[in-house]
Amino acid sequence: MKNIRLIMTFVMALTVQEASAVAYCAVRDPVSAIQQFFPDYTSYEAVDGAVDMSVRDLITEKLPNVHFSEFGTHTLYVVFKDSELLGYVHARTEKGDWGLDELIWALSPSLSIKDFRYQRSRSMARAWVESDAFVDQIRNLDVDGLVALLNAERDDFREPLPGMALSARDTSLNAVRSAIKTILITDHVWPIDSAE
Amino acid sequence: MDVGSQQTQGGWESFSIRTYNTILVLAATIGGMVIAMIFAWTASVAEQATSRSTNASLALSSLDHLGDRLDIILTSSDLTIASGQTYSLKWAADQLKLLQAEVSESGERDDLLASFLRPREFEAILNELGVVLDASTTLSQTGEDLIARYDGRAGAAVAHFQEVFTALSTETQERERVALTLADRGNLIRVSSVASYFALCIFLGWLGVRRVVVPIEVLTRANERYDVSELESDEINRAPEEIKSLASALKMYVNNLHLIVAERTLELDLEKQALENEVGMRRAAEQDLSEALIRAEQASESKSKFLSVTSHELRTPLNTMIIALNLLDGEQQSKQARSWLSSAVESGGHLRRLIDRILQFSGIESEVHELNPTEVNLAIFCRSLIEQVRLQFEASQSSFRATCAVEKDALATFDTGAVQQIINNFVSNATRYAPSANVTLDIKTTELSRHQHSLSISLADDGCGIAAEEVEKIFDPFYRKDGSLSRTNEGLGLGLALSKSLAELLGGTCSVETEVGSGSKFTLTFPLALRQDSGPKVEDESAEIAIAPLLEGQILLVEDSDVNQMITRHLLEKMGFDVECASSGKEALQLAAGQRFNVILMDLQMPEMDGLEATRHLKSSEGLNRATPVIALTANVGKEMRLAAEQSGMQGFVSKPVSPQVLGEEIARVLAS
Repeated sequence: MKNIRLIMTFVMALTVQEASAVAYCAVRDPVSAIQQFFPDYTSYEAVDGAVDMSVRDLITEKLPNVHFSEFGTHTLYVVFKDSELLGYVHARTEKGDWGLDELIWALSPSLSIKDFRYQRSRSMARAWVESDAFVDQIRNLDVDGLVALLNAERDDFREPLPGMALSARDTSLNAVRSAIKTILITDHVWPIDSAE
Repeated sequence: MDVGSQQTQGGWESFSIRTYNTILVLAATIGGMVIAMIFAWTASVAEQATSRSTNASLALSSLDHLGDRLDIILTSSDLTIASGQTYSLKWAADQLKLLQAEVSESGERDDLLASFLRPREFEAILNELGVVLDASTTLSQTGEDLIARYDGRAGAAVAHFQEVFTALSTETQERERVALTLADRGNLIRVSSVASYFALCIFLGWLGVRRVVVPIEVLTRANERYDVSELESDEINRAPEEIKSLASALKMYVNNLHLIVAERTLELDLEKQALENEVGMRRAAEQDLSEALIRAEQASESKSKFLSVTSHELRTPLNTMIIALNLLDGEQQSKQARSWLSSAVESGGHLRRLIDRILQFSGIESEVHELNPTEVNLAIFCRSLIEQVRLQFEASQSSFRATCAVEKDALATFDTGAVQQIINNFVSNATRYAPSANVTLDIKTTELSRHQHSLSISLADDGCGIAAEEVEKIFDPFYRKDGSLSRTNEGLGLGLALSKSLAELLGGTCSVETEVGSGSKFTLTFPLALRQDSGPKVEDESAEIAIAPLLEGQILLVEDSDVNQMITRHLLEKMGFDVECASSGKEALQLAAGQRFNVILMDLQMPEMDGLEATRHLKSSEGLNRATPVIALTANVGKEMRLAAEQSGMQGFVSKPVSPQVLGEEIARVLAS
């Protein structure tokens, strides 16, 4: 049954590959999300970037076997307080327990994890993954810090996270892999200099 | 024994073997049936629980399958909505309708899944979600309100499904736990029932041992020991009626047996007493017989000693007489005197041979006679023996023939004197009882093994023979063929007895084959160890000893008997010696101190100082005769005496009565050496 599920997912992903250019991995309510992550922001900018095969190759070096159907134009929200750069807001989509999980990430100017929340997830472990018990363990981690949490194949944790129930393992792993992918795409598609 | 009171004593255990057997059969049958029912019931309960658990697992599996289908539908819908391609939602809507039909079908098929999933409720949620998806397919793009409705319906479906999945998982686990618990309890009940059954069997076994086996053992023991007290023990009192009856019969039997045994014991005691009296009498008779045997042996020994002493004492004066007669025979005598002297010398010689035989037989009988083995060339010895026998038969009217088949150059060690004496006895018998017969002497050796032979010497004649009844007696001492007062042949009847004893000393046998009217054949057979003679060949026995008697010189004769001294001195002087005489050892030492002698003849038994001591003094002194050879003169010819003489320093030994030839040869020998 799992094989059928994967085949169907692959078939569906192929059918919508070209059409996912803008809306796919998009923040539905950017203002609300920016307000939540950066309460004292004064302005933000939406910057489009194109994801192509070269980006995918760079990302798969760090994160092999990653779900990747994000070719096309994506929007990065750069958040300011006056002229000061506060950080970035970005959305990613991952395959979850029931359908797709959509995660909104808040990154620091140095491209470390600041915060995140689900835009959509039907997983029963969603509440724990969104709680500080999990977020505090990935907050302020860059790519290397996040990769250090995983094993060599990047398909499981190196060791179970403190307080993580076994039923929350897959959802938590999905979130960490999404965080790594988000930072790598941000770094390669929207260089910091142009954002500034 | 009161059976009724015993039943009361036995209490609940009192029953017969028949009753016990019935109980045993019923217990085994009912117990087996109960155990079979318990096994069937526990197996049924466990099977039902397992079936419920299996149903729950199957329902959970079906639910998981539905969940997978729902996940695929939601994933495809999410992708479609996220990409804005709402026309693809048509596929998701169709799939959702199929899922609705499947949910309905599963609910109808599986009551358990239906009770948890509540198909109608879930179908309603799916139907609303389908409505949303159908609505989205008609829109050109995805609107926020549509997404919110879609997420709401999809979330409700997932939440309901997860709630059902969790509840059904819990139910499945509970049913598995119950199935395992019932299986464990079933096992426990089965083990308990089997253990109870075994306990019942053990109890019945113990009861059987206590009530049946032990009493039978007591009966057996009582039967073996004939002990009535065993039959009144508690084990018998507790026993079933059948065994009690058996015990009563056995008790009666044992009591009767005791009475019979008592009677028989009394009879045996009487017989025993009679036997003991008889044994006592026989022992007394045996004691008398033993004492009589000892007295007889003592008498026989006394007789032998008497013969020995008497013969020895007779021999010494006889010797003197013979020598004196020999001396007279050499003097100038008238014809009549020489005839009388010849008769006297011949009678004296016969008397000396008789005495010698008595002495020799006495020595053998008292086991003091010993052989004197010497090594000889066997062929030369046989030739000499044949010549000796031929000479003895030449004087008679008999014809003589001899055959000899022995190894030519073989050496053998045996007592030649004893063999010669045995053959001389055979010859003496032949000349005495078959004076004109044809006589044959056969000598031959037979190889027994590689180094062991036997020598067989037979002397056969064709005389009158010996009757069968006499054959067994002729080797007995003092037996004569003609024992009447009118017998014609002289002799003591010791020749064959001596031959037999000497043959046994040689390790052989003496035998006779005879038939009245056909003659007799006497045979000596004894073992020999032969070895090859590697020394120079001796052509003639006459060359063995070449003695040149010395007929001059000084001789000291030491002899306490005046007569012996006179006769021996005269004999020596006739040989040509100058003779000095001494009557004791002391006197001999005095004479030897002042004069050198060529030979000293020393009597051994003398007063004051005997010959042995005198010789030791002579040989240990530094006098003139320290190196002078000393010859012993004695009537005691035992081996011990010869050894004592040699140890004292004497070089020669001559036995009394003295033979002039032997004395001359011995003097010549010691002077030559």
